[in-house]
Amino acid sequence: MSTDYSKYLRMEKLPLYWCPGCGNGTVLKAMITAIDELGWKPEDIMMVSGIGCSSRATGYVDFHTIHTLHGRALPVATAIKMCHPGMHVITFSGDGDSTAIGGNHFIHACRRNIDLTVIIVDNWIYGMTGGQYSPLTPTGTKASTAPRGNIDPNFDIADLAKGAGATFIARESVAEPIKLKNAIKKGLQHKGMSVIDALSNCHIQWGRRNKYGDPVKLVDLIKEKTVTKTKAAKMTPEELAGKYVTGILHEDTIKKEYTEAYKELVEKAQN
Amino acid sequence: MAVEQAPVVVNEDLCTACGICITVCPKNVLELVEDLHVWTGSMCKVARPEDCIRCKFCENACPHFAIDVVDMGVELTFTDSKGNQVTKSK
Ligand code: SF4
Ligand code: SF4
Repeated sequence: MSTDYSKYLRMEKLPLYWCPGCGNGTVLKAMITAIDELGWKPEDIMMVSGIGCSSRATGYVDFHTIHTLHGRALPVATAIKMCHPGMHVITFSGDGDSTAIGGNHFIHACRRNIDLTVIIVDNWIYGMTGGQYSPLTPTGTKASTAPRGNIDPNFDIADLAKGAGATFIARESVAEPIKLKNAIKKGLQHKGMSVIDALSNCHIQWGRRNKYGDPVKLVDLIKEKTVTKTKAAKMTPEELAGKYVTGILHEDTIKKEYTEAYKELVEKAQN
Repeated sequence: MAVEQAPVVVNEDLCTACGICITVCPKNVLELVEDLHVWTGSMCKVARPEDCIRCKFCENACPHFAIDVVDMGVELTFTDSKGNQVTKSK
């Protein structure tokens, strides 16, 4: 049986408010399909989001949802996970929301290795607020606050998360929705902080300023810019410049999960 | 027992005519058709349902939850693009 999306969506809220062709929907669909395959019940899932286009996803899904402040999805999610360790907590936010405005929360959630699944919809721009450049806007491309091109170098979310201590890191793009779904599924199953960098298309705010105003063209560009992990291993650093390596980039099952460490501490204190 | 249903259905209330499904379809089943009654000015239509191989590329790529593809292995009867009643099992 194919996935019955109406089981997981608040159907009365549809159609989605996102622009025609926006990759947010593809990422959301990949997440819902992954949850459906895992057979998780909507009442066991808590979805938290910050502010931004992608963060509107919490309004559409029929889980426990909370729409928090800009960049503050992770502190709220951490608190929920601490109070309800049995719940599956997912955060869904954009690149600007999680790496710039909530950057500090992001590195500390990674450091604690708390069992959250963080889905970052990486569309290279602050879409909702008017196309300002984010730390993920590719260097040299235009944004409303960088009309002559952005001179800032970018973050690599995978390296950032790895350095900060996350134990599962994957990157996939909307150009390959099945691989994206599989990465999200693995991330959901992983015990510990899992970060999924989902490259997505914002053809309206980023694309129109950079001659990629058509969703199909921008998805093709994303596909061109991604290389799989195995292929990347055979490429020189020059060839890899400007490319995004996809696949499961890091997995660590040894580091202790935060709620478990806390439980042990509570038991020790009580005995 | 064949089910009376087309292999691929576009929900026109949700479709935004972005064209992504049309580019990913390997069998050229879908088409954008001008329709001035909707706000997008065109609508995604299933032009050649008999060609659909139920690969679900379109369903997975559609960002707006607008396409449903029937699973493989279900026998279906439907009217094809030429107006004939066809039965397909795959
Ligand atoms: S991908 Fe979905 S929203 Fe876009 S044209 Fe096809 S059916 Fe419509
Ligand atoms: S299931 Fe495959 S063949 Fe059928 S319409 Fe969708 S993309 Fe085309």
